[in-house]
Amino acid sequence: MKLKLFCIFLISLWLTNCQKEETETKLSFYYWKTRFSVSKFEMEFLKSNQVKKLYVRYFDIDLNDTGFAVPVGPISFEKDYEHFTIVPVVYIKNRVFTSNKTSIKSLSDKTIEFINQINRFHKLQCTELQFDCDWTKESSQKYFQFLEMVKKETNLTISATIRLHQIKYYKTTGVPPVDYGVLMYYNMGKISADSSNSIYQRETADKYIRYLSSYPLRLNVALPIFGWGIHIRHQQVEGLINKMNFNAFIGDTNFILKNQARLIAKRNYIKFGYYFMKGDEIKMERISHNDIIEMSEDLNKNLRKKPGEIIIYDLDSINLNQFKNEGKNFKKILDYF
Amino acid sequence: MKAKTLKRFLITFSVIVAFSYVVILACTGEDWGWFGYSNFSPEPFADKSYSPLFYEPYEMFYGIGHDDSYANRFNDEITSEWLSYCGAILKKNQLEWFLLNDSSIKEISDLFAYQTSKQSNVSVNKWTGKINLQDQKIKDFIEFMYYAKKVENSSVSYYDPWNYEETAKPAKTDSKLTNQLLKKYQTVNDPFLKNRYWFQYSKALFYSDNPNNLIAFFNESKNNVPKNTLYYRVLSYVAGLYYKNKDFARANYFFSIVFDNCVQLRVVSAYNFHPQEESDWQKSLQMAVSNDEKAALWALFGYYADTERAIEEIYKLNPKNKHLDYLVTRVVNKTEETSQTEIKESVSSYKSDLKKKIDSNVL
Repeated sequence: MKLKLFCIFLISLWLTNCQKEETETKLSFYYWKTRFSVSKFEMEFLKSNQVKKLYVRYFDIDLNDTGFAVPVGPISFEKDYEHFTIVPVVYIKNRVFTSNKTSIKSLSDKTIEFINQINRFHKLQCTELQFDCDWTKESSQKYFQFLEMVKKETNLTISATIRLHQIKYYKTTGVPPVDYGVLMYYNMGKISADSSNSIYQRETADKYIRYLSSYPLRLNVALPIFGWGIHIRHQQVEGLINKMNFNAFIGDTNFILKNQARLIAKRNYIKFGYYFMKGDEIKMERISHNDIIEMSEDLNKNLRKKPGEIIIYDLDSINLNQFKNEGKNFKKILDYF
Repeated sequence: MKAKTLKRFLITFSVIVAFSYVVILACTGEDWGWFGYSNFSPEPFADKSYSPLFYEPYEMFYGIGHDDSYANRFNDEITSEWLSYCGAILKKNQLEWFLLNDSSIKEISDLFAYQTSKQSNVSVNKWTGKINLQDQKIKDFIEFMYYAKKVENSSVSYYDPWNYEETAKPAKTDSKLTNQLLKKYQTVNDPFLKNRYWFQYSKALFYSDNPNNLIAFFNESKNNVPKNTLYYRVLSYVAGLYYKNKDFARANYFFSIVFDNCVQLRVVSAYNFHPQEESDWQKSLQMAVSNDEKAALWALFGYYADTERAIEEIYKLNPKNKHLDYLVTRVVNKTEETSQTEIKESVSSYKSDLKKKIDSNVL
């Protein structure tokens, strides 16, 4: 009898732990420009979708000409930032942590101080920080040491971005010592002239998604709404057209729409600062609302716990225009979690 | 002539490659893959002043990577011109100290203060006996350097990248300085100094809170100044302002004039030249008043966008145009890169594969 009761107790305990935590998932956005200024259209979109938090790229860190780590492209805040909770994000190039000129203690001290300087200058405060680095096995030790030092020094909530390959191979590349990770669920494929979509392709995601349930760190999720054009010449990638205004190209009579994803230049032509030769193709890679739903459903099935936050990359009118029809219903993607 | 030269380059390069292949095979008897080496060196075929603009697939500029000479590009020329002006009253090392050394700022300020106050100071004591502080040319030089160093405070800023305030608020020139410089430009009679005050005033306007004032000043004064390096430096400031004001047609037109006439600023103008739309590119072409001006626009277009087309257009305008050589080297090197093919069984099959890969328009 006692054994039966004990077994029932154990089973109940197990069932309780198996249930995903019932917390409300929130919606937030990444802001990834060097001048912070939110347009009226962007503000209305955020307000109607009850977005109160922005993850703002404060600066990058990269090696300068003499091999020392320096901040690059620090942000300047112009207006409307007081309406939001701002989380500073610092993007650090992997080579910073493989360089033998980088002192981790010095880097963490300088990074914290630089964030504080930006906050003091613009009268901002923050309760958490996020770091974005595509670390490798070789750089993991130093990068994790950096994160530990920042956490110890600031006592703030620290998060780090995690890429799909770092999920699958976490036993090799390690798990960052942070309060939570943010899964970057985009940029899955290679930029190429073929018909694949380098931003999101379900077949590519499938190779990684099943490993989510065994990842030992709590994860929030970053989903893409951006798009770009791949400029192709003679079946070779010529360049990337960032923040491509798809409608402006589709409506331009100097281009023919080959299919939903491809344009062909009818003649030699300059547009938006890019030079197109006759016959050049533009592969339009973009994310649809159905893609977002598909991603959300797949993630919901595979994540160990319900994410506390979905962070959309990134806040920009060109990106939001693609979701004009969804408007205030954009936040309904949270229903899929 | 230039089209034939291009064909000769391509044939020469393919023969060299084929010969190298034969030598390698003869020496080793093994199969060697194509490792992507270039067999065409552009240097013998174009003036060395064009070398940063030779084809470079991975960096912005050939040989130098990126342009980092903005602070010292004109040092030699400036020193030489002042040496010529000052004659024997200043030695070269003394001139270089005042012109090029940041540590001279305090001493220049002290020596200038002495001119008005007549009160000696540490710097006066240092330089008495070395230079004649009573000589009018020395006085004019010191006064000029005093103002020039103040402008330089805004134009060449050294800051600690880990200091956010220094990056957030670059120093601007103030109206007191710009007014002083304008007065000097208007009242000085010596043509050498007048030209230099014209430049410093223009530069001070560019680095002020109202840089667009430079456009009006340049338009008023451009016909009264010699078309020398200082002129083209100011013209490139003006081009930059037009670009910032989104008048891309005028900006690119002026950058092409700088490119055509000032060798030292070719890298700067190539870097900044950037048509945004077909319409502004056509407008730039319409602004050109001569075939050479049109050719300069195409020469930059050839660097930025379509080298083959640029060669065709320039050849129609002037088959002897000075920019054709460097453009031809770019075509050869780029063709070499894109037409690389695996060396197979024989030289003839290699040449046949190569010929298929080379764009017929290029040939």
